[in-house]
Amino acid sequence: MERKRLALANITVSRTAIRLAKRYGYLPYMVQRYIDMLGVDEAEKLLRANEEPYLRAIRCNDYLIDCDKLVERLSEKGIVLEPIPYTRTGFAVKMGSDKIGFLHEYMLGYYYIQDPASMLPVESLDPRPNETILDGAAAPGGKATQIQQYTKDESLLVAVDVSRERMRALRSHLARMGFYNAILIRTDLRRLPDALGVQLFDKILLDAPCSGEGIVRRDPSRKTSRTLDDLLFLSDLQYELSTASYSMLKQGGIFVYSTCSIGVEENEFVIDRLLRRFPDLEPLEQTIPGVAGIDEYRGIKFDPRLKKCRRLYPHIHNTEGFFICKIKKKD
Amino acid sequence: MQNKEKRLVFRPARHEEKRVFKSFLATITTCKYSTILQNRLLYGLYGGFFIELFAITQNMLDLILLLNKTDVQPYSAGFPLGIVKKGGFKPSLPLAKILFKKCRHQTLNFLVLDEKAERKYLYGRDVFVDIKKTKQPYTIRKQDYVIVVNTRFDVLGWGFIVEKVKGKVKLQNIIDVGWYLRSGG
Repeated sequence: MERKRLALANITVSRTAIRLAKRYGYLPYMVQRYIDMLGVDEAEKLLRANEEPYLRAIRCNDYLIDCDKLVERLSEKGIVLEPIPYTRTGFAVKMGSDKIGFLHEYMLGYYYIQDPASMLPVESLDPRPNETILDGAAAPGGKATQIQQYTKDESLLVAVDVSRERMRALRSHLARMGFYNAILIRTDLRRLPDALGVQLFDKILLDAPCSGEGIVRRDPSRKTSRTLDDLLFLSDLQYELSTASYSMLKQGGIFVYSTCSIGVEENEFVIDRLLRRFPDLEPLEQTIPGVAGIDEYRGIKFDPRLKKCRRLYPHIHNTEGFFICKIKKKD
Repeated sequence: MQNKEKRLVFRPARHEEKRVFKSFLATITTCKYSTILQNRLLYGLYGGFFIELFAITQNMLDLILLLNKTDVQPYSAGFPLGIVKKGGFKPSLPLAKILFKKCRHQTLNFLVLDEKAERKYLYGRDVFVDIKKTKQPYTIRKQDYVIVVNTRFDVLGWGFIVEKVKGKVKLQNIIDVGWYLRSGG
């Protein structure tokens, strides 16, 4: 594992990477990694796609309102919505996106503003009523509210986050959207296994804190705000959070790991470590969109089962960059 | 100096908080607690500047009891009913929603706002309502707490009738769903 880590940390930046980094305003090491991942042509397509405006989308809360009615109500206010086919209640905002965050229907909890890629981890988790579900990095609540929406608030959700400010937002969004079958805990997830002392959860979602390399369209500061050391630090944190999640998951339970990053360090490398440490974990096929996870990168070979993970890219899927892996803890 | 946080503890609501909450309910509706929240248990988050009341399920209680043995405490759990402070009760927005859903066809204090008043109210402001213009299913009296709804019967928040003169009422905004935007984070 240490050998793989060293290989990830040791990047030689090519002239092409420097040229592209300069043109698009990135740190050169980032572009080199995209080239290593995708090849020069596709890396440039990614960089170009990141310059496009991002697609604004909402998730209709069909727990509180019929989605046809919502479409009608918003169209009266000049908002044009178009269904996103691979989500249950996602809509792209085709017109009027500037006011989507201020409408009365938003305050009434009839929708949540969310990128389509960010709706997919919960599609993959497939939450069901009466399950006990942990959302391990829950704030501000996009996925937590989606879990409760899909189970009609009939699953018991334990939503954990470490940040006080973001916890406030999480609570507000859950209440706004009408979901109360939840316990909110403000703590570091790594402390929770000792506190609970049991394998309690049928399903766990960990949308791990990450560099946000996938959300450059929305936040261009991400082009330069993270160093390679930051990524490796985050990678260790993600691994520790995943390990904590594993220890609270029931045998036969489902763990979904996701990030809004396209970095191998924060995704395949983390899951590869996890699979090596816990042989009873088995990645599962997913029916969501995306290309296969990466099983070889800069001469490092990962567990071949990582191909079952899914990657979404702005230049291919017109979404945020995202990584989603669904893993079963065998009985 | 390090800022030491207060330790908040989830525990069964005391008799006093139950009394304050149930007295408030009685001023709004003839619905009983059991109709509104079935067999959920009344719990409070104690140790802060106020006591927040929640209705929780047995499943939640099992988990809370596990956590109570440690220094990890819930930030909130279950259905938030409102807060008790200095013997008074401030109702939550979810409580308005559930009361309107479950008790609307029994006796329930609610006030309907037209579109113009709705816009103003959702900015957190007090409003004057011409109750002759809007069809009001309920007879409004001065000093009443009311659930505030729009003409589509979306629940907008809580209000208090400060004045009632010649078919007009002055509605004091207690809390409205615009709070989710202004302060909810």
